[in-house]
Amino acid sequence: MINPLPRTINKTLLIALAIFISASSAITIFGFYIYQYQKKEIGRAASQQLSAIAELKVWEITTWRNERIGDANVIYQNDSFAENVAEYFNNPLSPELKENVLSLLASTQKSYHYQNILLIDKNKTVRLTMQKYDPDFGFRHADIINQAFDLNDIIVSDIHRDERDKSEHISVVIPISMIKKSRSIPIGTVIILVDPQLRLYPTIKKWPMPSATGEALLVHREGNDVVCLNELRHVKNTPLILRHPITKISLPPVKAVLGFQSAFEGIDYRKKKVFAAVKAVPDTTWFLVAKIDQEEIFASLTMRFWLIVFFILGAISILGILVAYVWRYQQAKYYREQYELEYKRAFMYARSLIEASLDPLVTISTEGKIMDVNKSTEFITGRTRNELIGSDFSSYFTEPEKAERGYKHVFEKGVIRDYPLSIRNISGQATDVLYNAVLYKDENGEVQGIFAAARDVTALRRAEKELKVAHDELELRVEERTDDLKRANNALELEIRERKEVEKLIALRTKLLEVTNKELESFSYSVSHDLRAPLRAIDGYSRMILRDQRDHLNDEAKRKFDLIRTNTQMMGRLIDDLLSFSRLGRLEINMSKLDMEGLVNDVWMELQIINPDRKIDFNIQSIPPGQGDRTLIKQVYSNLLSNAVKYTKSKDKAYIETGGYQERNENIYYVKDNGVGFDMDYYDKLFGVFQRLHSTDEYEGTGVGLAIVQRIIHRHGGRVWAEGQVEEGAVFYFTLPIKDCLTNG
Amino acid sequence: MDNMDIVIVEDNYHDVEMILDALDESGIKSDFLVCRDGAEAVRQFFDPTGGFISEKRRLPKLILLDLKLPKINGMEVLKLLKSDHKTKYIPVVVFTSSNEARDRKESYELGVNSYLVKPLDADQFAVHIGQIIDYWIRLNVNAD
Repeated sequence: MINPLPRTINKTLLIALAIFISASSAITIFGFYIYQYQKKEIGRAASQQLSAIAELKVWEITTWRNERIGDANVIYQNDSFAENVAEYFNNPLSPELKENVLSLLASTQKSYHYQNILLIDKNKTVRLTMQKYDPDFGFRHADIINQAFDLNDIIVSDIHRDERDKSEHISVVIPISMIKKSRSIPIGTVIILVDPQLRLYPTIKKWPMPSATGEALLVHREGNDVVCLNELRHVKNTPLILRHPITKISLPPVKAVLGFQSAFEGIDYRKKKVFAAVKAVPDTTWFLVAKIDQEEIFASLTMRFWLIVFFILGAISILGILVAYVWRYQQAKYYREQYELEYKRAFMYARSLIEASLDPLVTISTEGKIMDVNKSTEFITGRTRNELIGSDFSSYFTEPEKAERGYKHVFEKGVIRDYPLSIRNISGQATDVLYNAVLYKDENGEVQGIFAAARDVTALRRAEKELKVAHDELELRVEERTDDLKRANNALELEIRERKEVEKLIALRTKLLEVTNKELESFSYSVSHDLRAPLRAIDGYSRMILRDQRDHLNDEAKRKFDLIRTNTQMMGRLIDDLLSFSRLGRLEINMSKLDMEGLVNDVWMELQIINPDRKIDFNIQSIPPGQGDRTLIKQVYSNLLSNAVKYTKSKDKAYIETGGYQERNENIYYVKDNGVGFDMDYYDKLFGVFQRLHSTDEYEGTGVGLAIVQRIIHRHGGRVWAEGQVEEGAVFYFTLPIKDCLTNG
Repeated sequence: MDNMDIVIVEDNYHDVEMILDALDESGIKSDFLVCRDGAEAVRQFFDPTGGFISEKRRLPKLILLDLKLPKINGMEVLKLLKSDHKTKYIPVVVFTSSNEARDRKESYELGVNSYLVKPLDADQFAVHIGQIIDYWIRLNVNAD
């Protein structure tokens, strides 16, 4: 598995990206600055140019003006002209005098195509003209004439419009005066009318170089307006008509009249951005504005702009490509490294597997030569890797032709399974194997060779042999046994059948016993109950009679009634004893660990209560604890001890001892007394029911006590016996077996 | 020792006679009722034709109950007596010849106040009756 690009590569990419972005930005900014610089340069050049043009224009205008003034001066400084004019005025009819005046005027006219030259007298009357004139001309120009006389100099008027014919002209006013006796006497005025259209406008209009939008304006201020004085390029009929309020500062003419010097940017009357240069025309109120559209100036800039953009984009693209390449290269390098690592790892893994296999593995070429082996192959053939590689595969077998057939089969069919062969070791030993082989092909599907694995089956073969032998032997034995079994089976079946019969019988018997027991139980219960009732009545009535008829009975009667009562009591006891004796056979034993000494103490206390008058030397020796039913064992002690008490009543010093000891696997308990004892000759009657060895008047009792003791001990699995001597006393023994498992109780 | 009622449920005639004799011997003067079987006892207490209901007699101060009774046995009667809210506070002394542990247990479970076994000895018999009377009648104070 190829790991995803590690963080370092990603970081590199980020860094590269960062560099790329910042470089691109830098290039862009640089390009921008270059553009701006270029623009400025161009602008500056344009401005310079415009300034130069403005200067030129102004110079041209000034020159032209000076020329006009020069022409005027010719007249003005001609003193004889003034005399001539004066003489003429005095004699207007003289053709000579007229000719004198006219000739100067005419020559002036010739030098420049003036619109008109007029001679006006002191009364503002026009006396002579070169062209047609307007009769009011003199009066209309009165102001400027007076102004000229005041100044005593030539005045060049501003461009003004003639209302009559709507044409513009400039008037050059020449005051003619004579000096007499150092006094200047005005004679008249010569006014030269100049048509600006003739030379002035064209001069202004002429743009010194080819330009689409370049033009010059001559402007002056009139009140709050800036008036354009010449014909314009882009608009017709402008002279003295096109005017803008002085508030439109963006307009170059406005800027001009407001005193802006040099070159600046503005927006002209066409609402277009322009460069403009301004120069005031000296000695006039005129300003010359040379302007050119920025568009034109920057036309070349546009191209440059796109060039720069192209360059920038190009640079960025190259940078981008470079970065991409670097990154791709890094990535490729990393992946390649990873791949090589993975490859190495996979190779090592595969090789380890091959070498680890206990099965001999080989690869066989299409010519049947060994191409590769693992350690197990070396071992099983007893040859080294170098020897094996390149040699014939089939040469290592006991049956080479069989081996060859085997691998040829694989080349045909593609696979072979469990092909048995025997490999021959260099030591001569042969190993039985099973061969499993497949074709393996390269990625194009070309067969490269066979991959074969051998499985050592010597152990298998041997096991097979042994198995056969064992199997045969087993078969024999099995046959013998089967016969035996058959016989035994039959016998068993028989026995089972018999047993089943017996079981049925037992079940029946048990059922019978249970029923019998139950019946016995209720029988003995109700019998004892039924037997007692009449006894009670007999005793009761006897008592009543004894009590109520005391006075009417003699002693003998009383004695007999007492005897009646005594006997009924005895009968009652008999019935009780019988009942409990009969119960013993059916009672369940609840085994528990018994504290025998405690039990004995309890019984003795009870006996003391019943026999308060008896003084008995009672001795308890150590009694080992035993196992048994507490109630029943208590009864045993009760019977034995009460017997001991009873049969020692004739002794002055009655002595009763009880104890116990362990012998082998049983506990032996005893009750010993020094009472009346018994004759060992009648030992077999001792434990019998209702068997007594003493008469009733000597010792009362029913003779069932010891029978009860025996029954209880026998039910516990123990033994009872006794020893006695007449008048010497008796010892009664009983055993209780010791069992390992106990219930706590 | 005013009129204190004692009910004796006993089927054996001789036992009845002995009980009555013992009662007389103890000096008790009271009305007593003898039922000769369980059915009779049940009828007396629970049947509308029985004395305690029809004649609106006040309930007895003591019931001496034998267990071995014909028709309805003593345990049944005890059960009925102790489950009826009117009769369950009447002291019941089972006076029976049965010394069976299971009878004793069952009686106590049913709520008997005393369980006594009829002794064979007539003297003992009289003493028992005397003790019963002393405890349950002379010395007992009823809840009401």
